[in-house]
Amino acid sequence: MSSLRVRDLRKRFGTVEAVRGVDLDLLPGETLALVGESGSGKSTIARLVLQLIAPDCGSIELDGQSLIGLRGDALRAMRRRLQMIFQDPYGSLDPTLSIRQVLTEPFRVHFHRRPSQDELERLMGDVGLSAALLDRMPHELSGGQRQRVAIARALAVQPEFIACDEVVSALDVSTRAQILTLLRSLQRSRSLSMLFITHDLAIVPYIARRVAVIHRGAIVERGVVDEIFSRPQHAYTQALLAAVPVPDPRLRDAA
Amino acid sequence: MTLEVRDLAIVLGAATVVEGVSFSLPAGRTLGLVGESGAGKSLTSMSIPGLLPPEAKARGSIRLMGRELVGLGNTELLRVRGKQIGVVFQEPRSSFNPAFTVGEQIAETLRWHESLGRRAADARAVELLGEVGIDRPAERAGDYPHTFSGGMLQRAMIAMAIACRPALLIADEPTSALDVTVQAQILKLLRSLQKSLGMAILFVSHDMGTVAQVCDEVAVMYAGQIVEHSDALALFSRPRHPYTEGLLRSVPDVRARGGELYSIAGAMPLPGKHPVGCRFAPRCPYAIDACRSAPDARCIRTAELTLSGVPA
Repeated sequence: MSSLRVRDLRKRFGTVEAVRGVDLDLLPGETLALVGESGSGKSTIARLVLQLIAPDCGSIELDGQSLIGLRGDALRAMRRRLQMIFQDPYGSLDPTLSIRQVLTEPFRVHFHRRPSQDELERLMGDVGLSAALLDRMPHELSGGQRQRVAIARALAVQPEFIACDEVVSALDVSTRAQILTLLRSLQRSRSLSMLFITHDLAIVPYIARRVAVIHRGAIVERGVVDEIFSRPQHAYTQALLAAVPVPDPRLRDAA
Repeated sequence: MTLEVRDLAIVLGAATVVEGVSFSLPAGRTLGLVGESGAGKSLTSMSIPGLLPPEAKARGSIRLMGRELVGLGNTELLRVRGKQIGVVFQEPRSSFNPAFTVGEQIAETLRWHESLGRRAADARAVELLGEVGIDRPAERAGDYPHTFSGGMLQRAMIAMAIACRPALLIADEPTSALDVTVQAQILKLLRSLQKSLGMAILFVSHDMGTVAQVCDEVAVMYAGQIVEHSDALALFSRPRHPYTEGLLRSVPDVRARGGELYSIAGAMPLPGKHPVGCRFAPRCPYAIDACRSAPDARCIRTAELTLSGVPA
């Protein structure tokens, strides 16, 4: 279990201030949802936290240890503790590697060894996949199965923190529900700290207890999901919530 | 009747991917075609304007304003597409040619189908951009697609689709790539255009939330068949097929307060690997032995089951 503390994070791309002074606190074993529309800066925040890009200023600490400026072995050791899962499992799995090879890679990079057949089978089982799929190629799997492989790959190195960037946005409803349920149970059984980034407000109550709403690079409102969603204070949060289509034709607004 | 589809089948290689699909759609109504990927909803909708991939073949009957479209040659279909049938795709970015201005591309449709001169077509394109809610339409008509935001480009795509006042508009996941606030605006635009133009809309989507917002009636597809087709109000409150119930229960609701999101166990069978009998039976919580030899796509237990829809 780890706690993540982010203070005054800033990042500028050319003339665009993508992230403008963001503070985040993630308690050990907690899931925080970061919601916002495209261009809000939510994915940039995840990439900054994982040190995939460097911030212009601000601090990022995991259990009190600063992540900024880490290099070499120290950076690699930190990367083992922080993992990321992306939206598009087509794009994040190498099409030329079998599932076995995909899952072997993190063991080689971080533990300098190959995983045993047992370890691979356990990993597949943890994400609800049959070990028979180990020797398949990514294109032979469905979107949901591929996303399960991406989750297994992130879990392989026993991380303490996972950033999920729109991980269910490309999936069908029933697959989406299955993946959300899987993530929630993994988060609980392994006490993972999770940053769950999404533009889809409707799924937030099922995955996170706390939520932060981001607009143009800054957090405009944050708090417990129940409270923010029943009594949003900021005009942007209100607009976002009002725009979510409710699956009930009786509640259709007049054109 | 604007559109009448009878016993449509679509064959892709050796597999029959769509089977026994029948529905009709009158002017001024919106029919939602819903289902998960692989259900056959996009193939069904694309078979209407003859936009199936070359290896796919449609059989059965598709009548538009009484005229049979199945078996029409490409030259004849070119006169139907864009003229009597407008199509809006999910990704407007890939539907526009990046090398021509938005105005030019809308005007081209008008010159081709309506035999308008260059000047008249250009002027009409500007009017259409205004009609779909684009600010300063005369200026924006001269801009290239990359200068439009996703939402604005989808509006332009809709302007092109309605340019010739089609009898039928097919919208294939038109808001799936858009942000929620933009999505709400596009849905509103589609509803108001339908009110003013009176066209029939076939709305293809996997998102029950947006379907609830725009559709008068809904056809649910599973494994290549329509398993239920009802009035939208009835379908959402009293589904008659267990797959519809499962779909409705798996829709996340922003009003939910915690709890687990329901999911239908298992996955849709691949074309060519359909089980005998009801295709949903292997995943259905209500399946009994008789279901595995059920005669057609509808649920044989519908009369005895009490299925739940969205809570009131």
